[in-house]
Amino acid sequence: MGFDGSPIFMQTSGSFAELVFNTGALAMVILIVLVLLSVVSWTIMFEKVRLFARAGRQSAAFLNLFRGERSLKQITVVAGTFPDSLEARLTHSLGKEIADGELRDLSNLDAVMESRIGTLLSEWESYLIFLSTTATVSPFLGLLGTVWGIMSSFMSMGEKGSADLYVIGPGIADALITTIFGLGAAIPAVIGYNAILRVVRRRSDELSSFSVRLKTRILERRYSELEKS
Amino acid sequence: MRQSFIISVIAHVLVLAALFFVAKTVPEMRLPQNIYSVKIFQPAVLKTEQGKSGTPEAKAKAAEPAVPKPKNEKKKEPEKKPEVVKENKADAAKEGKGMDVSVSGDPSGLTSMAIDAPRFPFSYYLSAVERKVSQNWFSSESGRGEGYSCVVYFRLARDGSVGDVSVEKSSGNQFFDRSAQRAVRSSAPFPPLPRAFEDPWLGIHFTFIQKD
Repeated sequence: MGFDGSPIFMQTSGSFAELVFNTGALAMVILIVLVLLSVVSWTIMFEKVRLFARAGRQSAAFLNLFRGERSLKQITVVAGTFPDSLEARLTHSLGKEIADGELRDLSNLDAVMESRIGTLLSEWESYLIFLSTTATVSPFLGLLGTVWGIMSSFMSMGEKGSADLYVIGPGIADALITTIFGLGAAIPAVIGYNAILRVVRRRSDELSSFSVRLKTRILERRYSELEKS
Repeated sequence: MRQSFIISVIAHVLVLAALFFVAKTVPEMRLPQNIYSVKIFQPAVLKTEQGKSGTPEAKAKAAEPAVPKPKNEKKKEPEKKPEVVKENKADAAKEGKGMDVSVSGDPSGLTSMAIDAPRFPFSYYLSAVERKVSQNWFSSESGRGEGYSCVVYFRLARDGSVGDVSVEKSSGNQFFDRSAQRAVRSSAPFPPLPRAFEDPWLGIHFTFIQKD
């Protein structure tokens, strides 16, 4: 460390840990915030990936059952056992409402379906705002720490009256560590955000094409009921 | 949610641990054991010689060559050399465990250094020190033409600050001695010692020779 406590005179051993632990208070706070942001955004990404994997398996299984010769009532019951599949959830909620008689007027079936799909998709997109915020904010946070560090480095340079590379080098290297952490938090968040958003878009297309099939199923049942009565 | 959080925390801990314990931001500097660098100044020749003059047979060898030069030397302006080399060797012999480092010329005269450490492979550092002192040395007019030489001892702390500046071998001319001490003092602070060098300080015997 510096011979009079000034950070610009410190001796670096060249290890990453030393750079991190030699930083000032503000840089330390920024580093901690960035690590927390990164931890949370990775949590969200892991959670989404696992949810999508489960949902994919369940949807495939449910669509198989849906194609089979089953009545809407049976399908509604079966759909309840696939809690993560969007198709199953859509079928389950609509089928239940029809069975319970809450949804009698099928003339606005389209509108009801649209709103259900919107609700389901917004559930899938939940927490994505955190990823995009992390992606946008953390480089700036890192930059803030770096600018601050370089500023104090220059100030001590002025105090010491020396501009040797030995003097300013470590200070600037130290200042740059926050930028590294900022980029380290932002890059995975950007990638994750785009990947997740893409999956959600694709699922939304699949869901609307499924909703057409579900609608024909519901209408078929209604006609057969009418014919019977 | 909790599972994902745990996975995320573990991933971060692993990445940070890898960065902390494996990644070196500065590559390890590998220096060869023997460096022969030859620098040429206008009036005289600078020679950096590194060897294990601490061992007895090296010392014996060092004592004998007054005029015959080591094979690594460049043939350049031989008239200045003998005096300089002798000074250097005598100094190292006196120190016993030290070693000779370099000889250089500058407008004010000649300088040479010997250091306390038995092994100090950072010739770049020593030439930086020598250059700095030489630049800051303005020998007094009073001693011109008389061929004075004196040895100033000083210690460099790890941060490059100077301590214990003392005249080890006086030239007999106090103005000359003072100019030499002043050169060392006004050169402080020096660059920090190389980090691979582990001692808390480095003792340097700096020889100032008045050119005539």
